[in-house]
Amino acid sequence: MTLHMVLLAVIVLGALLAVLLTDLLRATISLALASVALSIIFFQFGVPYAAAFELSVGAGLVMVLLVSAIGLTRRTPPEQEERGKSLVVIIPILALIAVAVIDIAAFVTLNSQLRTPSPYALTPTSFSETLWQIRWVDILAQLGIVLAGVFAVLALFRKEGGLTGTPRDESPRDESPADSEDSLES
Amino acid sequence: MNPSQVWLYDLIIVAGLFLLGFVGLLLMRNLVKLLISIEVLTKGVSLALIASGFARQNPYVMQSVVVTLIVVEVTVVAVALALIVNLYRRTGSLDIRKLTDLKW
Repeated sequence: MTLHMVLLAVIVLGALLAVLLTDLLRATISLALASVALSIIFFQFGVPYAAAFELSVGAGLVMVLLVSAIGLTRRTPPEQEERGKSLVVIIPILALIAVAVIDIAAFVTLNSQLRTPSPYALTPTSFSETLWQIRWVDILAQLGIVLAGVFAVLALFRKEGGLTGTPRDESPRDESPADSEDSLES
Repeated sequence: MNPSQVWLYDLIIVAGLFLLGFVGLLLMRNLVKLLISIEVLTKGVSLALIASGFARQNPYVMQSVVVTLIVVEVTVVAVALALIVNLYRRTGSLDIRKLTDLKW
């Protein structure tokens, strides 16, 4: 129980730093730290497949993608945000009150249902049985989503004059294409 | 561990993660920070699902749902980062206040 509480605290701390730090690289590392703590909690709950996915994909792959994107956009100066001080104070307080009310209401209404039997008539005995017999549609959906993501990324990084040979109009608004390429490389 | 008690603690942390994610989405101006805020929200959803499965003594279904969620999450991150890099090449900035093309 103590380890569980420590891990929950690490998740909140990592998420807090990820949202509030202005340095994008440090924010990404904080997010990865929260993901690692979350995956340990998953192991504690006895869901090793989700934990392994969270550790390898949530903490590993997502972090690599974020760091790559930060590296490609490194020239941007740190955030210069003109936030109203009143907004910074009021929004979190209002959000905290709203979330606390919803949380308490959800716990009070749903806690009594914990002892009722699961709505799934076919109670699974293993993860593989659940995934391949009950939730097999999810596998097809995952395939579709991954394919859609691959095609979207390919379309977004399509080179000029790609398959059809017709150049794409992608000139920047403020600077010439040559200037843009030079600035990216520098 | 008492499932009901653990579920309560986890729900409180989920509320905190949601709060942080929404605050980040509302206050941050950097596109990458917005994506990180969405990631924080997703972590909250994952924790809520697994904790609920644990509380109901039936973790397998929630485990498969969370695996699907993680796959969707990484696809969204990849596409969003591709969009962000393309926007950066066009505008030279990651500030959302400069994305005013669709404004009247």
